[in-house]
Amino acid sequence: MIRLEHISKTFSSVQGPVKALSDISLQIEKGEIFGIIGFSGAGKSTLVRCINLLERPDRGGKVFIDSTELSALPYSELRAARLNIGMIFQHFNLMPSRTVLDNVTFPLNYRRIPATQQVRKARHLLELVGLENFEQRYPSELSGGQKQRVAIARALASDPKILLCDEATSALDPQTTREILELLASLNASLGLTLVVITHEMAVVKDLCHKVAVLEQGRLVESGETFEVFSNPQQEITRRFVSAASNLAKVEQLKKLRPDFFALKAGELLVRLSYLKRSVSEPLISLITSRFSLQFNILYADVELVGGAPIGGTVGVLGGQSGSIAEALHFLEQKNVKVEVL
Amino acid sequence: MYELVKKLLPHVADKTDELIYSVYQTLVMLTVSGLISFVLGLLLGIVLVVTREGGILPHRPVNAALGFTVNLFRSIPFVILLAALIPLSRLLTGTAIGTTGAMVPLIFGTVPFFSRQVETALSGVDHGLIEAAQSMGLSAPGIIVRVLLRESIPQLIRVSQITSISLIGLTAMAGAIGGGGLGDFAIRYGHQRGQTDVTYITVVVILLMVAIIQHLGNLVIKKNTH
Repeated sequence: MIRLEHISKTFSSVQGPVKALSDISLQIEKGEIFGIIGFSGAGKSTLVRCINLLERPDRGGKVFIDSTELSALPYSELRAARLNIGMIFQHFNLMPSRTVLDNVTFPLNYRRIPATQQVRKARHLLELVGLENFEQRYPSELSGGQKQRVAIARALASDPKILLCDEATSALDPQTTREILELLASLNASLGLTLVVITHEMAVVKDLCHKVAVLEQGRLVESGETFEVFSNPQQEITRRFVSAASNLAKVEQLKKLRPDFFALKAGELLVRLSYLKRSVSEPLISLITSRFSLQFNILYADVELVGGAPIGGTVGVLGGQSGSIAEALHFLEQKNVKVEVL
Repeated sequence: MYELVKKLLPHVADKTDELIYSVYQTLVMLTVSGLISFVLGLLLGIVLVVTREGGILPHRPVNAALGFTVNLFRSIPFVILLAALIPLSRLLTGTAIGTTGAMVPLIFGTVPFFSRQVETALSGVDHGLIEAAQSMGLSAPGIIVRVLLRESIPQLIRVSQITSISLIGLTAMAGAIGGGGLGDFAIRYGHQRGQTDVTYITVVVILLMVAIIQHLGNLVIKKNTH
């Protein structure tokens, strides 16, 4: 378990102090995959560095790992405690002068562990990340995805309970990103590893995270279960992330670019229906068209799996008597469908 | 063979012993002051890098004082340093002349230059690597040895090549105030007695030394670049 209490961080700059984080408190349970999402400059990287104290929070901020207050430990004990917190980075940060094997054993060197045991451990980890034949290669000979796999193996060498991922997939292409996310998810499931995932990519949160916190200008503006946060975003910034990921939001853009595409006849309405609750199983559209004798011309529909539950909806043109349309929309709202007339 | 040498290099032929001894003196000055300067310059370069703002052991007063001292000694022309350090040389080595007397000014002339070069070399190490090492619980000395120095080996060799080549130049100058060596040899015969072939032969010998330093360095760099 990770608990952050009243974390603030002020950097001094030529223009005076800059507040990177303001009073952030949050708790991450053991075995959870916790996403922290925000646009660049929101303070995500600073926040994750406060967990292993690569950045010291301002006075009053406390960091707890289980029952230990990390922020109160003397330096030597903090260094020992960091062995329980692995970290991977956007640019991998592998040691270029060392082979893949030596990179993975790096955290084990000088810890009174026999060399043969170090190598055995490293080989096991390389197998776990799918790089068993790369031991003697150098980082410069690897692709981005392979480098990140080596970095993950290295981070796991000291058997940490927590893995901090700082924009770990931001330098990778979509296919490789998916592979790394799958690897991280399987490590979470098989080792019970707690993952803290920093990202600006909605796709990462959507596919991987159980819970999410949204960071904006150093403040925690929204947090909770991924599905809850993204099915019904309360903050403008969260909505922007959702719309970046969902095709449903593209209708506004499309309407602006191709108004003729949405030419409506008299009495017709362009609507967007989105699900707010999990397990939408009723055939709502066929229900309203038959019950209120309406026509619903589906332009397109989109469903994404967020936190394992479907999130999405339908954009279409609703036609019929205006009274019936109003009744139908009301009916949908009662069924926890968000209705927007565009 | 001797006849040919005698014909081409009339003044060198009869002092080959002295030439060889001069080469020996230059090599002694180069290796002894070079090794001492390497160790001191490396230490000071490390201190310059780790104590600066954003370094792994930031310490403004130490960094400022050391930076100032280094700049001070770097701005003194070597010829003046040779004269100015005579009392210190006598104090430390008991003499101010000969190869031994030349050591102190050579070290004072080389260390500031080399420590700035080391500083630049170590600054080239990606900050991300240091951060990764910190996240793995490494101590500051661990980071210095296993990340900063280890990852900048090719760069450190490069700056050592540059520094040792400029140190050869300094040994020649030190020779002029009685240090001996190839500089002294060339000035006494080549310059003062107009025996130009002596000057040329010293140039060739020094060129050889530079080439050897360059070649050996490049071999090590190649082995350490991946």
